[in-house]
Amino acid sequence: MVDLKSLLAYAASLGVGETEFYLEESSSWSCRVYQGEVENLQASQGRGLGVRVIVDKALGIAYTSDVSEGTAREAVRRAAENAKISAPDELRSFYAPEGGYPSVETWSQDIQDTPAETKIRMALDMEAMAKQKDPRIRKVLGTGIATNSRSVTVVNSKGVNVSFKSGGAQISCQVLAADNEVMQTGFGNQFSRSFSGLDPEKVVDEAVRNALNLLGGKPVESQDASVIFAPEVSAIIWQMLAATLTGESVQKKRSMFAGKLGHKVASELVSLIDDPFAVEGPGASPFDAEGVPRKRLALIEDGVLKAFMYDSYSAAKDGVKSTGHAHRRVQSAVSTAPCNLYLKPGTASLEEVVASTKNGFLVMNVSGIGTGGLNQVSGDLSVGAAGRWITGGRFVGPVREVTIAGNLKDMLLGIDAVASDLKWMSMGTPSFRVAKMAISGK
Amino acid sequence: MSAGQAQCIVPQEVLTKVLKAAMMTGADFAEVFVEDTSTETITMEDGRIENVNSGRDRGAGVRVVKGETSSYCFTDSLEERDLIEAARTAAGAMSGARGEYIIDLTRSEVPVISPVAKYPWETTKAAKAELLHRADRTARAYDPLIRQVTAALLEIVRNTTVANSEGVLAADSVTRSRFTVSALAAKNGIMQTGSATIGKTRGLEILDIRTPEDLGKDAARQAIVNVHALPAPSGPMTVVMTNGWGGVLFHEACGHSLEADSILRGSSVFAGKIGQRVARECVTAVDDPTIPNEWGSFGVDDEGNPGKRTVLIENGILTSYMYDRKNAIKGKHEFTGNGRRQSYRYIAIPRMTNTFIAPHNSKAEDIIADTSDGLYAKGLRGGQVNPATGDFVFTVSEAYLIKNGKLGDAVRGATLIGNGLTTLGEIDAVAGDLDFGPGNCGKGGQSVPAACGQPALRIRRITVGGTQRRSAERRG
Repeated sequence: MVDLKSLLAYAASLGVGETEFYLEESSSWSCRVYQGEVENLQASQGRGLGVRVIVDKALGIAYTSDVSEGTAREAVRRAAENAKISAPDELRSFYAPEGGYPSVETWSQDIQDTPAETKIRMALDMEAMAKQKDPRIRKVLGTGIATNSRSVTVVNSKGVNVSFKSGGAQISCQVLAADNEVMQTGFGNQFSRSFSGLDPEKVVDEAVRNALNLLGGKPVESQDASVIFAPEVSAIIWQMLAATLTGESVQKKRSMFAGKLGHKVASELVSLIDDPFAVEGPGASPFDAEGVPRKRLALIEDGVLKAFMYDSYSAAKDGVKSTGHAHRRVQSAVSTAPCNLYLKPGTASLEEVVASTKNGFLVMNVSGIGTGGLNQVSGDLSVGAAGRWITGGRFVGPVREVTIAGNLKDMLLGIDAVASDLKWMSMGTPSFRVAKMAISGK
Repeated sequence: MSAGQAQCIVPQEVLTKVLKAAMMTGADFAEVFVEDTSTETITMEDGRIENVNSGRDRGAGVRVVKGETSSYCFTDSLEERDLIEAARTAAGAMSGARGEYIIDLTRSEVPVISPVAKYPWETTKAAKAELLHRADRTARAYDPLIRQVTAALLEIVRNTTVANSEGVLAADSVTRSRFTVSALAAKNGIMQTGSATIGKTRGLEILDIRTPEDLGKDAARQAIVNVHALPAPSGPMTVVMTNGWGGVLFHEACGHSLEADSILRGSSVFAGKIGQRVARECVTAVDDPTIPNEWGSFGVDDEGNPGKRTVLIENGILTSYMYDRKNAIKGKHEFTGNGRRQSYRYIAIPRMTNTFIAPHNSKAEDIIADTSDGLYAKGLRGGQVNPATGDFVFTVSEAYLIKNGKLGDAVRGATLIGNGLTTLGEIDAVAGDLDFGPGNCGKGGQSVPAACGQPALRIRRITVGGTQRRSAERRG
């Protein structure tokens, strides 16, 4: 593999002003079992190098999956060439270190040390367990286990040279429930920082419960009703919302929250926090994609918009400092994104929230949200949904083939309950309820 | 070999050694997939070239199959020792041993489906930047309400070589180009977007079909239509869809459920229905990667099998599913050339290519004229489906009400929601004006280019999800 220090020297020899390398090295292992047999096993070591250069105040980018010296140098040359047609901007500059980095400890040695046989056994046991849970579980469609470790290194010509290693384990199970001709799938999964933290039975129960609770769902009459979003759905909504809470989206006139800093944008029950130190979350990390130290940032606190997220470039445009929210993959340009988001849980359990709902809909699945169902510019939301209907505080039956529609801005203000059932997935979130939304069905 | 055939990325002798190493533990089958892909993107925002990115994805994946188990290992290197190491790792997941395995590779003739006139390296980056500027200027000039314009050019050259223990050796080279313009319009605090795209398996000559000006103007026009539009109605309606990208309806509602993996798991609504009527006479549906220059076209699939035209539904009768190698063997069906993967980092699974509803005998204007009350969906974004239930949803990007056979007010924020089988049965008129749009289809964490196509067609009854309740009209 190429030595990044000598690659910096090579870039300097080409007359490049500033250079930055983003190196990712990963090791992943995964297994899927089906009908008592191992269906698929994968084990790989992956690498990739992203190069950014600034030449005459203009940015150029390149990447390569092959990090041998020859291809890495070619990537540097291409990045320099690309800078020639980019628009120059005085504000372009990479991060110069200003002190230390926080410590974030996510690595658990059992991710690496647990033998493959133990992991495969866990997946086979989960599959067998799922079949036994209920006579209506006709099939277990897929059961998987994966462990991975990933290290990120950021090196730049301004003196940044940092590395961070993280790891995790994941299990999932998908079942098919059937009642005569009617079929319904159910999915359960868990992400854990350690192998020992995995709870296979909980995941199986979740998959089975999701399938059975939705089995035989029917559309309801079109109406306005309370809508409770389960954590799995809630996570999607808050992440899409957070994408608009960046300096970048305000500058590009794409944020519905432009000019709302310090204003009430949500019910006082809402506190949305980005916390790099919450190690339960998958994004916990000490620095961002530009090597800027991470810090805890409250985006919305008690319903008031408190902050926008910035990377170096968007921060320079607003004359502020980066908040450590530069985000990238090896193949992509740098953008601004939250690292480890969570919605602060309330005190009432989900059961209590349901019990206090007169006429409502617990939404367990949504579809189409990422394919245009939520317009991040206007806030218009219109998505397919499935879940359980609630009348007089009780579940009365499964619902599917309906849509829920509204505008995100109104939804945020209309939140009248946040439950205590915080779950960490791609982010951490409990269930929450919106007092009234439009439901289209029959 | 005919002129223009793709070169093998790794020499045949090396591939043979890799396959021998992969077969060491007594496997039934081994395959090596080698890829060298170059990607160039240029993005423009606010009239400025923001990101110019050049990428190289080069590596190989080795698959070993024994009984029901397959194992996979990839490497980000094409060095012989790294390829053999990957083969050993994949083989090491199996227990067993065997002596020397004879590998006799025969180079397949791979047809050049999609000839290229202007390769990415034949145009300077400065000239490409100017194309983006042209789109940007046209979009901004369209209306003073246009606030933001972004434009992007993507060019991909994907070279692949596949070899397997059954003697297959096939190399393919595919060049794809896509040009996208998005515009944002704002009025009285209402912000709406519009976008226009052309994407084909060909070079920069895609812009001879639709110029940067055409695309810029179309994106701006849509944004302006939406900013003035009324809220969409909700409830069951008759929907007429325009030709082209609207084929994403079929792709989502039925296509995914016709992929053999969900069929063989019994988790598809179409399982066991071959030979049965699933749609009216006017519906014929096809998957075909051999359409010259279409977005999802290729010579061989990512398992080295030739792409071919598969009729999925013929005059309303279900005729075939789409197979990769594994599911074809399991389902005792011939290969259909649908084994695809995002890159060498992934295993191939059954995927759609260019999937479309075939032309029929109606005319688009007659279908509208024959609809007394409904919604005309002129533009669509994407959609999503649960293959087990067939429940789908997708988002309409440009829509108009139809009243007494005539187009009326524009409406925004509509989604279409329904069930694949049910909705398929509701298609009662199909026109002859087949067209395609480019998409990136996601499944199992992998994204592949897939074209969706259809002529204009009518769905008798489907649920429209909007915010405007129609009960008031019913009372009236």
